[in-house]
Amino acid sequence: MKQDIRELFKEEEPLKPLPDAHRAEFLEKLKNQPKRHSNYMFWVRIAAVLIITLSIGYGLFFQPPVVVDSPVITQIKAVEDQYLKDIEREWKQFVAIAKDEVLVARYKARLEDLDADYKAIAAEFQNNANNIEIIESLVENLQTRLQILKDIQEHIKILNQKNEQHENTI
Amino acid sequence: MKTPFKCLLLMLITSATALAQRHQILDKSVALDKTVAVQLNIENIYLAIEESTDGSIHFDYAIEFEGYSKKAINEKLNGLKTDVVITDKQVTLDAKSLSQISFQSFVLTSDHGLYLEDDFGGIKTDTIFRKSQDALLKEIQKNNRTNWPKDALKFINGRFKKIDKDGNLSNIRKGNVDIMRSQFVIKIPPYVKLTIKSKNAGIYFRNDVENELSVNSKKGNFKAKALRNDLNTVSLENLHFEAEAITGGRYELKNVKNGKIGSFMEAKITSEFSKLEIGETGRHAIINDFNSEYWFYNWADNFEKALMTTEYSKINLFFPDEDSYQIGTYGHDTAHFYDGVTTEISPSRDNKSSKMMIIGEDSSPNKIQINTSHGIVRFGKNFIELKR
Repeated sequence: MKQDIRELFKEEEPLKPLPDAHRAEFLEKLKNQPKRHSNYMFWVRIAAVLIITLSIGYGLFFQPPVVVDSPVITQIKAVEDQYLKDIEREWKQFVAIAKDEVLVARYKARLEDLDADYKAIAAEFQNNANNIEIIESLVENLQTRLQILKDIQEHIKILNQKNEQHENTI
Repeated sequence: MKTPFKCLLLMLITSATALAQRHQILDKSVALDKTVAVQLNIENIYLAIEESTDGSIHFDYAIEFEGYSKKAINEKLNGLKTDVVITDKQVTLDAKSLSQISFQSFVLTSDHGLYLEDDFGGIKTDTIFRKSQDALLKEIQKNNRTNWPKDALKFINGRFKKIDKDGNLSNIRKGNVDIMRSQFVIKIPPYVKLTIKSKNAGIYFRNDVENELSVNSKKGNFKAKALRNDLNTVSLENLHFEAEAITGGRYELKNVKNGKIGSFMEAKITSEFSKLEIGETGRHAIINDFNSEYWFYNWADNFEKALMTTEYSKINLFFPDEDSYQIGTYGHDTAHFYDGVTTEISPSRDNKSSKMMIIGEDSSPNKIQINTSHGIVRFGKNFIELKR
């Protein structure tokens, strides 16, 4: 439909004068407008949720296992404790009767070697507690220590009982 | 102290069972000439050495698992490394395992209680009887057996018993035991020089050996038939050692347990903290020892001279059969036991050595000389009383 645009301008209402407080009203309206969410903040929130979820999940499902020794390990520990007490007692008795410092030093070194061996076997035992050979090796090591201390004390007692010198020809 | 230990062991269920599986680890042969040496570096593995008759060295290693889960088998195999390196002058085998692989090992898999018989210390006795050389050889041969125990359950039930809540004992059943069998055989020509370095391993010679040997073994087992070579140098520490015969060479033995030598001649042993039985002592035997116990059961004809230098040692010596011998002990601070009579030589203030006891005539062609300080020497014809 044809229309003279000049007529349109004539029909337009005259401009309203601005109120005195228009600037303050504008600022107030601007302040009350809902804030626009940025993409950046959106992803930060997603990440935070994920982190919290994963942390809780890890805490629930991947807690470090509570270390509980197997009955075998507990039992061998009891055997070990008993032997070590006996070995310590025999060692003190041996040192008390031995007059030869070289002998005491050699036994000390020998026992330290055996103790180092025991620690190596015990480490293997922790990973393979049901293996019969390892159990036997552990007990054998402890028994060896105890036995050599008993044997040398018996040896020294026999030597200490003599009190006279002989030279015999049979 | 109370005899330790009859212990009750509770076993856990650890794995699902599977059928026996055989895995070939190594299968290799290399032709050798006389200029090539062989070196074996072994850790945590048991193996047998046999004679090769075709001029080549052969490595044949297989492991059989019975009852093991796939996971457990893979763990064992992943922890096992073998490598053969060949150069113009040497063939070297490196074989190592994270855990010990003996010829046959058992893992208990049920949650029943286990009764462990305390037989580790052996039977104590007040009397030592003379053993014939043949009797000692039979013991050695039995312990160097070629085959696995035919009845694994019989073997294991000889050591352990199942125990219920009320303390009743019963045999362990097949389903409660996982078994791993290892068969590692190395065949070596008789003319090559052989060097062995081993740790916590089992070295089992299944034939008499005349190869020149250089051995350094710590922990485990070392068992042999005859070892004959003047150039042998063998160092064994903290292990079980048995040999049917030793001729020539130098042997360093530290903390050898239950040592057994069928016959010993023209060789030298330096030992400490060991226990050694010798079936027959032949010509020119030399022993230097600290704090070991020896049993000399028999003497070869015309052994000529045996020389021992010992400190804090126990010597149990059975007299030679023939009358033509002389035994002399020299030193101080030593107790002698013979036929119910104790002869005790006091310590010398300045540790001076002196003649202590002479048995037999000086003109005798065969002489045993024992230099001893702080020692115990026991003599006997057919038995020795240990109590005074």
